[in-house]
Amino acid sequence: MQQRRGLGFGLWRLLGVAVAIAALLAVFSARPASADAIPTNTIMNAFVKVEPKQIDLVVRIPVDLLRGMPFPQKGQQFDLAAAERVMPLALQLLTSGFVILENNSPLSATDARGRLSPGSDRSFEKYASAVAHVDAAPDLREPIPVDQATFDVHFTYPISSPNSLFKIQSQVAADLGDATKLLVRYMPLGEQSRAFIIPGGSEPMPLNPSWYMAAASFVQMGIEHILSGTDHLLFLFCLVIPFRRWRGLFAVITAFTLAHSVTLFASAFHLAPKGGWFPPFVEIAIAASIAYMAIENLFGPNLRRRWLTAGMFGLVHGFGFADVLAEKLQFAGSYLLLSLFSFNVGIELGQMLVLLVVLPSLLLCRRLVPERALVFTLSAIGALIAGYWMIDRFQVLRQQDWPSIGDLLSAAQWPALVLLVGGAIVLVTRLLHRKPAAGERSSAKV
Amino acid sequence: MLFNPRYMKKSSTILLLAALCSTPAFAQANRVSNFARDALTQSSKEIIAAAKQMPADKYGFKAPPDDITFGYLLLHVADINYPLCSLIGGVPAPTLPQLKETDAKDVLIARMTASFEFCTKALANLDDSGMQQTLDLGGAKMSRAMTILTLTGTWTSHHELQLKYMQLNGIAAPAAAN
Repeated sequence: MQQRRGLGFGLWRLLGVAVAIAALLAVFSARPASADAIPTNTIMNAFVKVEPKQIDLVVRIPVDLLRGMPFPQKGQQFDLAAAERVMPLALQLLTSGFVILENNSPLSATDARGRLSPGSDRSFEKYASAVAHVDAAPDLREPIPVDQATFDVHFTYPISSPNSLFKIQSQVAADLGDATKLLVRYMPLGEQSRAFIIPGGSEPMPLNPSWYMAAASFVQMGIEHILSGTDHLLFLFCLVIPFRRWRGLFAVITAFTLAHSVTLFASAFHLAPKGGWFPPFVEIAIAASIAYMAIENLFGPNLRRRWLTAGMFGLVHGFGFADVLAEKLQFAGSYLLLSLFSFNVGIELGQMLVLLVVLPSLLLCRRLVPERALVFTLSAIGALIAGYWMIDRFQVLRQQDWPSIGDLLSAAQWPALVLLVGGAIVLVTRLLHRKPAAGERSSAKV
Repeated sequence: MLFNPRYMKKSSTILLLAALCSTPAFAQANRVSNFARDALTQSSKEIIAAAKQMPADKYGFKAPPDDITFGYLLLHVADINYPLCSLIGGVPAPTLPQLKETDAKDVLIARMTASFEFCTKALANLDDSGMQQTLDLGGAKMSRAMTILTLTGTWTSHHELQLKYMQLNGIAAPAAAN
């Protein structure tokens, strides 16, 4: 395999690929934007308060999510007097809309109250005012516009112990999937409260997991993510195609792992760029990393410096992992660091599993197909898939608002960090491998 | 997703009246089941009446951004009724030949009417004892009670969409819908 290209040439190639990508994106950005603008997120706000003998669940649900609920109307407003008569039916329906589990056993609500409220009501800013609002008798003369109303409910569930493991699930409008969200403020007895966002259609989510539950679930999540993440797998595949020995791979995989760990942890501590544009941008960058790696394989990879490329792209993939992790990390309870570490362990275990299958398979294929043809064919397929992904993902990016200057400056920290770290590593590497000049040699003798 | 959120709007007053008028005191034990049956009776009348009122040559009409035709809407109602009523009532849904939205008006109305008749049979013996049981709606897990609420919600929103299409074509809503 060709090994002659230096870092300078690699950077020029990277720049060339970047220019090509930018040109491609510019062509696609010329298309007209879609006229459809569908609101996707509808938030239900909830408090879950643990008391010594009971759990109180107080939820505010936008009426739009309760399309079949027969609340009566008078013109464009709800008829509150008539609504009181259907309240028992509405509450009976909604008791099965929320599932609270104590040590995996479902709890039954013994008390249920509810009322319609105007969208302008602010009582759900605090638990005490939310409870007071729901439990109070409604003013039947209050105008409540149909298109902005919420249905507020308060359910009480007897529990056996406040120290049990509690889980919550929302089944309200679960057919809409993650277009709905349940924002939960969990208030355990004698501990600080925590907030969770639970996407619609989720399985029951633990509100107070133990450390080993958190660790085990995050290791599992990491393994599942890498094994189901076709883009990460394809990158890994393109990364290792030209390698024939484990020894050379060690530095590459280590660099990739260290780099994605850096951005994964940074994202968990809110150091990643903000804005809706960033996740789709990262997705495109991941596709571009695969394309780059595959194209480099086609034209003769520099295996000695591949660890550096793997490290740089590892930073990007770390943001991708973090995006998946972000929604789940809220369920880590008090074990944020442990859960992060566990997720990373899961990712590495998944990677190892994949490599244990891929590398022997590649070695076997090398016996059947000439090496160059094998590397060329596999890399060409990888490049084509990555190219398709880039175009496909760009359609998602186009629908996002462009980042502000502040967002861009924040995002610019990361390429700067990459260049700084990369430059420092290259400098140290060159210094270590530099042959002493004649003068230096003579002075050394002195 | 079973239905497009764009079409989801407010619940109809009619469903309330149906729930209130036909839920006698002795039937409180089956409050949710009775609500489902009453909503079915009322909504099927409204939706079928609106489908009959719409002229056949307007079945291909679609109002942007609601990118489905009136004919497709009727098929969509039937396509939702069969699986959901089957799940709620625990009755297997029949296997039916695929229809096209461009099929004749009578064919589309017949399919939708048959789906409501299937629902009537499926919900006939429903009681409130299994309302907490979790059902699988093609991946989404919902209790039987929430599935009923979803089903009645689709009837409300799809009937509203029917009326909107009719209004855009200058066609009066049928008497049953007023």
